[in-house]
Amino acid sequence: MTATEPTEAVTGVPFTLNGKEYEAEQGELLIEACDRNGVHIPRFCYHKRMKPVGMCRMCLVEVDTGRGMKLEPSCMLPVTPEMKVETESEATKAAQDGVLELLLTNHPLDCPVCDKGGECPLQDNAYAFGPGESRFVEEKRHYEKPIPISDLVHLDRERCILCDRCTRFASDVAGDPLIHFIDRGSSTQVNTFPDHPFSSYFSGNTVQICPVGALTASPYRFKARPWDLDTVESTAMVDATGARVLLQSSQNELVRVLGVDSDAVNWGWLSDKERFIYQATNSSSRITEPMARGGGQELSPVRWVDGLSSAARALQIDPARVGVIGGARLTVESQYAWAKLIKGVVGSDNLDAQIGDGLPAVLTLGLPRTTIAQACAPGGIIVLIGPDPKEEQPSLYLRIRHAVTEEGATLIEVTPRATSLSDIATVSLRSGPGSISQLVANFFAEVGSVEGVSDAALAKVRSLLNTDDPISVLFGRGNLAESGRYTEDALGVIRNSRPNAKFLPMLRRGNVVGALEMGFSPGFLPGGVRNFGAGLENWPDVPQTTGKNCDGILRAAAAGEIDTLVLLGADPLDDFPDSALAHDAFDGVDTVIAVDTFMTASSRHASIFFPAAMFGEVDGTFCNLEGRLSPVRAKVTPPGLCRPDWMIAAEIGSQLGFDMGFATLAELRAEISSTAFSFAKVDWAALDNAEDGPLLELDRDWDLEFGEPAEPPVVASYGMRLIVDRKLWDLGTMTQEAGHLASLSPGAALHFSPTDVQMMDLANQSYVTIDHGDISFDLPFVSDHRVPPRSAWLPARLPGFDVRKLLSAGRSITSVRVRTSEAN
Amino acid sequence: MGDPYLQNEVDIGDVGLAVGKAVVAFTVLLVAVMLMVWFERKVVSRLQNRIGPNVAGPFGLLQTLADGLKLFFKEDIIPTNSDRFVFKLAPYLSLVPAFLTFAVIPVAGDFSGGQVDAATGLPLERPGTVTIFGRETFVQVADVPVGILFFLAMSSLAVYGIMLAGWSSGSKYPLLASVRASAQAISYEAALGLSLAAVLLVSGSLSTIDIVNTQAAGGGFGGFTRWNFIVTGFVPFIVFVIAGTAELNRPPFDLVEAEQEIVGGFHTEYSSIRFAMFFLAEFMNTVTMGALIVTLFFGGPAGPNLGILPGWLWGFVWFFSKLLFFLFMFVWFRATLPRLRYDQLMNLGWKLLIPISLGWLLLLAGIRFARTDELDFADSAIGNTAIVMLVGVAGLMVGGLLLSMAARAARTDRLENEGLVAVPTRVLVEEE
Amino acid sequence: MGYLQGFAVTLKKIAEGVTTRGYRGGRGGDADLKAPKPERLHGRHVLNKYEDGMEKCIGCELCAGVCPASCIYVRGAENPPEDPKSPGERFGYVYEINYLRCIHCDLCVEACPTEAITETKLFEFSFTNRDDAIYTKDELLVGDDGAPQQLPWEDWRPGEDEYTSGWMRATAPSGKSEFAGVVGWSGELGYGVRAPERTDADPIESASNHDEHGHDEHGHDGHGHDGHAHDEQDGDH
Repeated sequence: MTATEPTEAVTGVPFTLNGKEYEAEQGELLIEACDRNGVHIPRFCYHKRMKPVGMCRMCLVEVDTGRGMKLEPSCMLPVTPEMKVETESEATKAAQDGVLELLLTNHPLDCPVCDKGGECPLQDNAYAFGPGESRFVEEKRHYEKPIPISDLVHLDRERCILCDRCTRFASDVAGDPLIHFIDRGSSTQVNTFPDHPFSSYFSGNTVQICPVGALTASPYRFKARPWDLDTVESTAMVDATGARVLLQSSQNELVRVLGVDSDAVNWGWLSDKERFIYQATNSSSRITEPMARGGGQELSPVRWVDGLSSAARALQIDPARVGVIGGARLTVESQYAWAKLIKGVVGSDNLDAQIGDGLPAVLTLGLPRTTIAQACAPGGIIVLIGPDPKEEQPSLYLRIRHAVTEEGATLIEVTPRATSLSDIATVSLRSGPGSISQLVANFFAEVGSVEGVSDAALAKVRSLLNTDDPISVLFGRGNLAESGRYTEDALGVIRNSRPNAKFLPMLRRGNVVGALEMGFSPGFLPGGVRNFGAGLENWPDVPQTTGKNCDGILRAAAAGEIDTLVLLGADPLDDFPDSALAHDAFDGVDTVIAVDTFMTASSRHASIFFPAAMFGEVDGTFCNLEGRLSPVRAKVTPPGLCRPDWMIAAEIGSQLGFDMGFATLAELRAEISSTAFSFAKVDWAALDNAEDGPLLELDRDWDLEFGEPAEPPVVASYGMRLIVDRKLWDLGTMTQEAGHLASLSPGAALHFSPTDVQMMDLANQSYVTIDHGDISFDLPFVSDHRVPPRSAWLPARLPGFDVRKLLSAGRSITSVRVRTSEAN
Repeated sequence: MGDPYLQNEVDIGDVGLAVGKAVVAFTVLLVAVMLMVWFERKVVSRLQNRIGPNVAGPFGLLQTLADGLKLFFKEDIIPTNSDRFVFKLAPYLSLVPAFLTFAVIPVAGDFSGGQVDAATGLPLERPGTVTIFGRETFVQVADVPVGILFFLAMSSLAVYGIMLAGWSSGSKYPLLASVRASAQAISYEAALGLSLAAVLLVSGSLSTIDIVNTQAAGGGFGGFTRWNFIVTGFVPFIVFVIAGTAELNRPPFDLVEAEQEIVGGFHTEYSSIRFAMFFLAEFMNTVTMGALIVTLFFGGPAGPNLGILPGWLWGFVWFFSKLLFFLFMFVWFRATLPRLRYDQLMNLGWKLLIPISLGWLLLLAGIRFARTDELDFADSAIGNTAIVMLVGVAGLMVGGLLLSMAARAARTDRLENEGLVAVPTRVLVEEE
Repeated sequence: MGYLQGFAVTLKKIAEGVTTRGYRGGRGGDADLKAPKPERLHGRHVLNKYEDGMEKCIGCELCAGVCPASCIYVRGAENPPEDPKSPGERFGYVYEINYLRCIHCDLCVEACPTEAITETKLFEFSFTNRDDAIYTKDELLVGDDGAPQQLPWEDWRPGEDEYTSGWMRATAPSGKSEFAGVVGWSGELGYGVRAPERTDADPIESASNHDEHGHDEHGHDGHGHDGHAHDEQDGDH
């Protein structure tokens, strides 16, 4: 049994361990019970978060369950009452000695060249429990070593001890059974399928759990030794899940990131993006000094003081003519500092952390929040409305997957295309263009049939949801080619129909929930305050009217109403789902101030560029989608003249003649606690030591008004409705700057359902031409059963074609025409 | 007797001569010190199988000069805790007495004539003079009638230098060392004085030139039988040498300035020129003490005139060779003997040297008295002498035995009072 | 008599002469003498190569890990397939020893699994600035003949750069003397190869008399096994 928290620890199970009496929990495995009581049993294949298999036999101990002492694998044995266990007996020691000797017979003498040396359980166990000398004088088995089984992982079969951890993880936990045992007997080896590399989004976890150096990570290969490494615990800022990580550095350079087992968030697992994105921090294309456009038209280095004074001058204009986009890459402290600067000092409410691809902040802030643990509770009900979690929040995907496959949770997903969870979902429904709310309305009452969805499926959902148990709704914007209005309407339906439903926002970009909490949305102040009237202590010039969101800012900029645009780690030219509008906006703006780490397409337009310190170099706090705070810690020093974002805000504030009131992080945090209601009870000092960070006070109890759901638009019959979402590996700035991740992005290709392929007679062809307005483009296409009929799926920001050219902000749906291409 | 050129009226030429002699002596002393340092370093090295300074100048002769120059250019540090005036004064208090003592030592002169009045024992003529610019004078800076007393006074004054140096440094080690050094100095002064008294007994005068004359009687090569070294019976000479080494703070009595023991002793806090002055003073004292031993016990410049060179130069040659021997002896001591611990040092001074020298003085006095034939123990002076000698020696031995028993008992008592067990001072060798 | 004997001892020293050697730091010409060095003196390190020119160092960082003075900085890297530097997957890409910190304990030599890092007897390598003090891999690597490189400030005499290769410990790591003296890795350039040391199994016979099976010239190997059959009348042993 996997170690889940027992719902009711009724009675303990008494047992005798090495002569002393202890109590184990109900259903607890013997190896766990011994661990808890301070007796360590060596093991290789047992992992706390995976089902035990008893493959390695290292955990053999002498156990007497009533029929005499016998060697048993303690990882497979739940503790039974009156069990007697001897972990130090002669037989146990002989077993440990023997198992290690046998494991070492074919194990190569690779320790000096093996990445695992120094932190290797096989080394440690052999030293502690194994024989001192080998009796094996024959030839060991040989394999070609190592073979790259994916771009990120190398496999050395000689070193493998066949513990099954990687294969179990890949198939059970990650759902990507791409690596498994082949052959048998003494030729058993781990390998991938022919022509199928181990390109799982979670391949890095197998490297971390492998007890020997059989699986090694390419970015870390030969980089350093464990005793060289300096470690700090931090939080991944790649997506809003906020997985806990260990940052490790050597010689002031980040060399590795490991996952930390956080019971609330990620169970030690990380996606490969969270694991290897640290390479972007080491990239040599980092901008390390402030730049400005001087008399000439080129960006050239300037002094900080000159850049800051120019920025202050650019902000000393009518607040309504200032727009700020971005902020989801910043820590909570930096977000507060910038919110104070823009909303409190400059007095502008045109501030938005979401780049037009999210949902209104009021929903995130106002809908009652649940936690991941509650959502993924055994037997819970999860309703997923939005994008594929595996692409956008992989760590959350693993939790959902576990809940559904192991804990009997019910998953009802409403997505434009089939996701990675569709195979295991209880009910998987495809939402047609603009019809999410109709679909969802049918979950609670029979309202009417929905095109493309069977009535039987809807009935099943109704019966599943016909319960008093709370349901958890994971919501996000599933299709960027469609207006977010439809998702909002669906949420409104749920909220009105099921008041005890709890919600979890799946928004894009790392610290977006923290940004919204800090007021990075028009109409809000830190702590989710919606009322400007009261103003805030220490904020001299709070705006009185609600400003514009990103959409509005860019429209205003295109119309020439915005003079200064501030980009806080944001790249609207590449990310905003309407590239035409974004370009017009940048043409219409006078001054662009970019606070960023690399030269992106948007920051190239900047008149002033401030280099910010990034992940691994900043100290701060991260707020994940549950509203849980976790520490972000610095491990290396920022290069050149980079500064943390909050310092930049404070300096601009002082250039504007206002003393922001904080010179250190501690002062900043104190001010946050006193200003933002949701942060009032946060114990900042205890953040580092808390195993799972504290949750914010999010009981807002707002009266959320939802309008009438919009009618689904009419789709022209000749058009294919466009589904646009994001993939984990794409042309995103960080991914491209991380050496090993840059080439992982697939090329842009249209995905059609097989029926469409057949209908359009594209069976023997590879290219199609899409037409939309005056844009025509030849694209490769793929037949994909995940795509519903009459839809074309093309993720954004893939190399080859920028699908955002086809999008227009505010348009309800987008459809394209597809025809055969001459490029075939 | 006095210096001849000062007996009559003293005119400006005499004053000039006196000043000139002082200047020459000063220079000679400085050069002698420089050479003494070189000599010591070289000889100690050879006694230790090594080369010694050989880089500065031929055979390293200019090493001392180089060291002196280096010291001159070093930073002069005066500790904040120190008493500045005394701190600055102390080196001079050490240096000046060292110069002054040399003033009373006859360095050259023709003493080969050696006629002495049999009755009085005083020389008939005035040997040992030279004529400079028409003035007849001894080859020493000044012939003070109380020359030896002058020397004792100067050595007492030198103690002030050490003591004040240590106290005024304002620091632990110097204070401790200077107290010890003063104690050492005054303890051994007693032994020094007593052995000196033996010499005075024999020569009958405090003036150094008279002492030399007394030893030079007999002239030529026969003269050495009258050297005080033999006449006083060896023991005062040995005591004087030991006590003199202790007075100089030279090994084996250099506890108070040894680096292994107490950093630098009383001169720890001194640097640059001030340290150089202490250094200088110590070696000047060494040269002077050697010269004094030569003068007191070995006849000074006395020795035969072997031709070619003028008579007074032969005096210098003899003086110099005897001095060299004793300087070598000091260096030899340094190379050979391990350092004495403080209590051993004090024991040696008080419990051995003082009783011996006192006892010997009494014996000598007794013998001298016996030879005047005023006793009635025997028929002749010789018989009297013999009886006195025997009785004296016996008395000395009994006294010595009593003294050592008393010392041992006191030691055992002291150790028991402190809770320690007395270890036997002699290791018993087991018979195989 | 004890005191006076001491005087005689010191006086005799004058007759014995000086034992000082005239070392002039390499500048004295004929008068410049050096004391002979013990055979196992710990001096400057070298990175060794195999006979075929491949470097022995595999960049495993064990020497850096064991160094008590933290004076070695090693980074490994993948062997370029078209130009491998060392046999195997990994080679020492960065290898630096900071001689300002090195205490010449030779733990790195003991730790090295391939006998890549060994110490020569050269200890006259006084540098005059900190940059020279950090010896990089290029400076430490032996030449193609196995000889250490002489840097401009090092003072060598002919013959001092021998015996640079790994030294055999008297006991094998397991403590069993059967493995002592047996070369564990493949052959080497042989520039001044030391003979294996005496083992504890045959304390009397000298090591240089052993051939590769541990037999000396009489065919004895100290374990009681003769290389040839015994004859009762065999008289030369």
